[in-house]
Amino acid sequence: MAKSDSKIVAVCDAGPIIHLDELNCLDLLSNFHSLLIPKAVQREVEKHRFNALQHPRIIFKTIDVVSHPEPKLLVLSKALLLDKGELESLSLIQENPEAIFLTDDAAARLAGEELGYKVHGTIGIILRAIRKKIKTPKEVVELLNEIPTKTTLFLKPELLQEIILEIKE
Amino acid sequence: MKAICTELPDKVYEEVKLLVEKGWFKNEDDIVLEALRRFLDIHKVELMEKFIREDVQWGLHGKE
Repeated sequence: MAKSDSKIVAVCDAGPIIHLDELNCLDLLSNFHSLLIPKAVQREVEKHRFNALQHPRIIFKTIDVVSHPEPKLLVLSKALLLDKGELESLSLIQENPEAIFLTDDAAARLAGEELGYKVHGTIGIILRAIRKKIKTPKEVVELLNEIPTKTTLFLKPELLQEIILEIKE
Repeated sequence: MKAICTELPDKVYEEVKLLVEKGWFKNEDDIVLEALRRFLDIHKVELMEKFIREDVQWGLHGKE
């Protein structure tokens, strides 16, 4: 992985990896100290984007999650119908509470925030590239404009335009 | 297994209790679970929008 001065560890759900790979900008994750994925997420990503985890500069550390989820997570998981990858990701972040959880799933994000973790998604990672000076605002706008045609990430067109406008301002 | 602790207004709780007593649900937990599922079905799009707006703020102005 590209050398990073960030101390932030990220636990990744499948969504952001898939969506960033669809945009050919997985390298935006290179600025994290390390990227952890549970085995269930690895399987899900490989099912949809087989080569995403083979990126030459991004190393995902696959973790076999063996710990039992905390009772509150189990309740949330049941109530919010989380899938195996999301449950394993949240179990993994319980072991790394300073990490941020990257997901594009509303239910998983809700659970993560309810448990007190920092949670962000693909849009946050893309926009963070401006703040981290990895990409220019113009490059980020170009990426955002590609979301509807190149990715499986659903974003309301009006909201997308609102985000683009905010960057331009 | 532990449950999430929350406070319900008396009136809401009475209605929940009645649904269980009348046999519509096995217990109060099942009602809460069903209510949450329905809430999320309805609000998922709004939730996503809220989360994306939070991401925009974090992405552009976050501290980390």
